[in-house]
Amino acid sequence: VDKRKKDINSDLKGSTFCASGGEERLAIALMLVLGLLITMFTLHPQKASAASITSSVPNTLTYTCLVQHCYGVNTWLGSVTGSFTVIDVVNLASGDVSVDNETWLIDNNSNRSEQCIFAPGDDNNACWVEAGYVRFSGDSERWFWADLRPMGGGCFNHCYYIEHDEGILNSGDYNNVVDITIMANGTAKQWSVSVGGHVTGFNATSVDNTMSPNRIDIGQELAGTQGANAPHANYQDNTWIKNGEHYQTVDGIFNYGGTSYNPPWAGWNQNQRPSNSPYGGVWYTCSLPSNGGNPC
Amino acid sequence: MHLRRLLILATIVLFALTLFGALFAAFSSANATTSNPPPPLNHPKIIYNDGMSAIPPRTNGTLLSATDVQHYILTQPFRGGPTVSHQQPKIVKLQLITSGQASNLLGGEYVSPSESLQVYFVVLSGPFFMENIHVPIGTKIPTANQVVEVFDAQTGNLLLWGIYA
Repeated sequence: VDKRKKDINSDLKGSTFCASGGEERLAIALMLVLGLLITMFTLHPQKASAASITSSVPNTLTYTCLVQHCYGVNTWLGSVTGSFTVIDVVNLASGDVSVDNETWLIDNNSNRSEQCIFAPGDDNNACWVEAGYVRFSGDSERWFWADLRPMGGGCFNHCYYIEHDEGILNSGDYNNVVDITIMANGTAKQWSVSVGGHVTGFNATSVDNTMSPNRIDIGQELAGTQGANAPHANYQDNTWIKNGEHYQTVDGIFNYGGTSYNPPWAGWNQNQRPSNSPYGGVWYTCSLPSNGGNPC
Repeated sequence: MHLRRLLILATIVLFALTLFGALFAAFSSANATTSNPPPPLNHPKIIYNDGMSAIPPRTNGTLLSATDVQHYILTQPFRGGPTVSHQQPKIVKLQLITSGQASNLLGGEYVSPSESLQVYFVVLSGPFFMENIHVPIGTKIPTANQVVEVFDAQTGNLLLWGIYA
């Protein structure tokens, strides 16, 4: 009887041990699988925010950016006296109208106390000074700047939107950067515009301009319906000016114009946001054919 | 028995290390400060201040004539965009004046570094669909009844264009 009890106990222990060994192995395997899954998900490269906006884009680049242009821009709000950014200079194909890489210094005119209009009777919105490089259909890349200044009531005699197109870019300007500064120059109602490419550039002044800027935009403006090609361009060294120069340290607002499948694509390059990088972040834009994903 | 416990313990330690490593990597990635320092400022050798080439200048160095300007305007599209009707625009004004006077006619707008530069001040009637203007996001592209162009009377360069409403 004792021997049988011992045998039974022994069998029971053995079966217990068998069961424990199986659970242990299962637990170990589960933990290893879990560990692998955690590793895979956390180390998976994060895509830029623009990628989540794109849904489907045809191979041939078409877009609806005529009556209202399309944009991939970032906006910072807040009272400033100037702005600075450094933009990659790349070859652009205009498509049927134009594409540009640029920056705007804007007075949002939120309380509509100023006359920021194209013509008497038009909507009273923002005033601004802008600068960058553009390619129009049938033309080469050029530096440009433009302004829409606050006018007196009813614009007095006339209202004005004025653009100044400068000389074409030199071959040495490409695959380099352009430094763009728009800032109050110390004389009342004057804003200096400085555009410095690697070889060519220009300086100008927006005169008799009473705007009080409270917004900075950087990015790409696309006009037309088809055929543009604008490779990846970065916007770095993003700076606001007021009592000195300051790198942007907040991300601002990702401003996306056009329908959900329209270019331009834009976002923070490799997640280099102002909030987590030391030099004002690195924004990017592009307008390229795509199979549905972000081609930048 | 001891061997099994050791095995379990080793697995737990391995799991904990994997988890810690993965979380550390993810944390580091999200807060990466891998930006390169900004490039040094450019010092361009060529500074433009005379607009873009447009009307061919005269080979003898004399100023362009009003007829030269008129011919260009009626044969080349307005840079800001086409007329709504796709017909030729009408010339409302074509004056040879100084850049300072042109600036006054444009409410103080910058025209040229030199106030005494001879320029052609041209106003055209459309209306025009201003598809080529550059505006901040959210701004509807306007139609303009009248537009303006200012040409350097010597070089024929287009110094500015825009809406003259």
